Amino acid sequence: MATYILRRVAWAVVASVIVLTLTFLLLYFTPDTQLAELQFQAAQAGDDPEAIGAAYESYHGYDQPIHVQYIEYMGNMLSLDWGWSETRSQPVTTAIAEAIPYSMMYAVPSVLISSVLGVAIGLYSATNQYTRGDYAATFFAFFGLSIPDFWFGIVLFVLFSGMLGWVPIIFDTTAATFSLENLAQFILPIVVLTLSSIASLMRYSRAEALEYVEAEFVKTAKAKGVGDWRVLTRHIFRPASVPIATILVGDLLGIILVSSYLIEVVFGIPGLGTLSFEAIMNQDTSLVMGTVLLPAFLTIIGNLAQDIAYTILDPRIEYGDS
Amino acid sequence: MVENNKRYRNGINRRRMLQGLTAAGVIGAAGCLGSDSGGGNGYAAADTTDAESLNFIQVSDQNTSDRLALTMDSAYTITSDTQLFPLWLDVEDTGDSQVYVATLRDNLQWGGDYGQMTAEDWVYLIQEVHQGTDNWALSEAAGNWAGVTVEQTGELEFQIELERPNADWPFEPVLWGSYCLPKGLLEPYVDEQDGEGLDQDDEIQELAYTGNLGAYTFERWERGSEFTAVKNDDYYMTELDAEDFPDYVSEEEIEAWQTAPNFEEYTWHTMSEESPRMTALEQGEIDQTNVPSTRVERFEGQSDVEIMEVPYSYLTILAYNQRMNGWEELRTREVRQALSMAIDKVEITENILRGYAETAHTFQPHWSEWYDESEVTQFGEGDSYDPAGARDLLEANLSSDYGYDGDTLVGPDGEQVTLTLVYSRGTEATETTAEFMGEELSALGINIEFESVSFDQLIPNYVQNSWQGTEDEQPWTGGPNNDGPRDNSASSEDWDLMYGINFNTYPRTPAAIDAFWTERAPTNYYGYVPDEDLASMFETVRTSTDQAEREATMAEIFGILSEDQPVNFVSMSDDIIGYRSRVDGPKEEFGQSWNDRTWAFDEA
Repeated sequence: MATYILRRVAWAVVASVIVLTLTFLLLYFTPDTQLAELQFQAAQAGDDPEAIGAAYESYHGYDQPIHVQYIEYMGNMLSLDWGWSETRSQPVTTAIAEAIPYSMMYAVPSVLISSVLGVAIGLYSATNQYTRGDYAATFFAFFGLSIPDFWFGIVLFVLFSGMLGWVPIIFDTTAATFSLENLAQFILPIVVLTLSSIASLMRYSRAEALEYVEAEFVKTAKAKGVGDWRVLTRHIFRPASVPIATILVGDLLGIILVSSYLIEVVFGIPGLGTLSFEAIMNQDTSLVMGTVLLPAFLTIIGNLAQDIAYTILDPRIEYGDS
Repeated sequence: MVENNKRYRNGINRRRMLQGLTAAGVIGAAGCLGSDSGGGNGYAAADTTDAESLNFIQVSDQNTSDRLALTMDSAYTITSDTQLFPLWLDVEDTGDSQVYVATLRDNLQWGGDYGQMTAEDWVYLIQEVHQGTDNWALSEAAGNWAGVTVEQTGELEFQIELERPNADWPFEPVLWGSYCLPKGLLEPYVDEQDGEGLDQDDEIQELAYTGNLGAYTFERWERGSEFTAVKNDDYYMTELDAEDFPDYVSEEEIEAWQTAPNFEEYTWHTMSEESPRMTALEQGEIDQTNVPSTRVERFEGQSDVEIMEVPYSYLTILAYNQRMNGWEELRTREVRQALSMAIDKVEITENILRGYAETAHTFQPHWSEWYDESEVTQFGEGDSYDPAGARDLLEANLSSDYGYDGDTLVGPDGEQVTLTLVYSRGTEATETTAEFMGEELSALGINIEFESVSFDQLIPNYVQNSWQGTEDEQPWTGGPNNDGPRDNSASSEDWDLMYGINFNTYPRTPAAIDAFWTERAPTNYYGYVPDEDLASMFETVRTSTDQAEREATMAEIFGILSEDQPVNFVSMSDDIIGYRSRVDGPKEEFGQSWNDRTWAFDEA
């Protein structure tokens, strides 16, 4: 297994280099709209657009040959110098570090709640197939999957904030992390994100668990007088947990990253989603790169952790070390 | 098996109901403890985007200026009556409109250990940064200071000599509204020519050098969320005597300045979503924000909110592409006139823009003192909105191989004439206006194809153009937006009509519009070639010291532009700002925020 892990880590490094290189090339060959707008503004003010263009390229080092820029870029990446955000006037790493806590404040509770409830309701639904509870859970799942986060967020916001005044309209960055004030401003984002992520987990858990509900070893266990709780947790959940784990890392990460754009923009949360959204809208190339690389690295690391986790969850999986 | 499954069933019982109510209760209880940020003696404003930087050398957009202005007053300002109002300094013309003398107040103190603000700081900044070699600091004011000679003539006095006389210079945004930095802060970066180091300096980014130079002191900047400044008890304006103010300032206004500011705290919130921003204004969580014309109705009848229609100097045009990749007939003045005549501007301003805009007929607002209605030819309003007349004008002036087949305008290939109207994507009003103009032109028998493009793609792909021949053949270039004569320069994407770009009309210094309306002007991306020598006329306005001559020449220019229709001067939108009614100070006049440090909350 050690060889396998080393091989997976090496591949993660190669994948990272590929991601970094592709990002560099994309940025290098993408027309600099910021420069175009700067020159257009200079022209309207009666200034020489070409002079400002030359100063801009020299200032940012864009007048250097591509290989010089690439070497500097990779060096900066390795030393965690991800550049300077032109639209926020701070290092990209600082911008990301400042944004992460805000995203964590609603993403962590949401992941915990949706993981526990999603799997639990899925198992309940599987073991109570075609009952009222199963139908209710299925309705709940399809509601969560179907309803757009953006729209649902606005509806909740208008209801609880605009009409009832129960939660604040303006996001307060000075609120203490563990305070009722902070809870008030995060509870709606948590509800919206949990609803969308719990739904897919629930349906997936139900489908996986159903494979084992009628399995021979489950029937044998029941015939031997094993209790319902033990059957559920040891004989159904354990084998079902391996495929469930695959979506825990992949789908859940995807849902959270995608949903965070919508949720943070709606609720005005200055987290990673807003940071990335604003970076793209404002053509802040360094920040776009940073916010693209972070989820890319998280995905690489997540997949690595997931592969390793399989060995713990299912000892039958082999890695060809011998 | 089914029987066994019953053990897992649970119906909706009392316990479930209580659990649900508890969840809702948590939201409610938590919300009850939330604070009302707009309720105290703190002023809260909101806009859609945050400042990009606090380094004024590189950035001068409105959002950045709004935040910087809290902590620094700038050199001087212009009142809404177009009077020069000294803040840090007063500027005087020595008599020839070419040499100006700036005199600093004697009670201006930098923050930190930088001591008093002196003329040396100003001269050093201008010479070493704005006029620095290769613009090493990427100064956005470099063009303004090019060719200007600056010299220190006293501890608190410096002299500015222009290349040529310019009576409007004090009203151009060169020294007006400009900021300064202490020489001691700049020196290490000037020695190393280290622009990035200067930009990233903590004292720059945290405004640690502002001392007593502004009404507020920087408190915190949560990027993308809020910028907060607190009242500056050492504000230099509070130390001034009545005789330190210009004669035209009333006693009441002097007292207001001497006791400014009136808010303990001033916060700029960034709220990109329109709906929460409007709700925040409605519920009193903020005191000020811009209101889209489509949302004004929401506040009608609400006594707590006052909507102000503030004149704005930006004009929206429908550009006619007269370059080689535009419809060649657009080079004919009468054809452009016909197209302008066929579009109802009143419909646009009154219905699409809901009355929060005025029609325009030349590159100057009606309310400008330089605007002379007798010189201006109108197209698209009242009798000059005449689709039938427009068709006649087109028929009479199009090339001979064009003609009407029934109601369809047919080109040399026998097909209906099709024009591409590209517009800037973003607002509902822009899209609706573009579609409306397309319908109006369709009535002339022209088929309009629409292209919706984001602004950042509009500039590089449609506005910027490049010379199509060899470098040796290129006779001149006006830069990336006007890269040579129109016969041989084109944008990467073809277009005929373009809507959605707004231009400043410079109502206080109209000669500055020469950046748009001469053949070689850097903003002339539409390829306009005036028959008249507008360049010489602009030169007269810039250099003449005879105000009557300047006014007459400017009026003539505006007349020529209205007749030539290089673009369709469509409308001038107002700035619609919503204030909580307790805010005392804002007025519905151009440049109304010049004295916003003296605004207060109504005690009643």
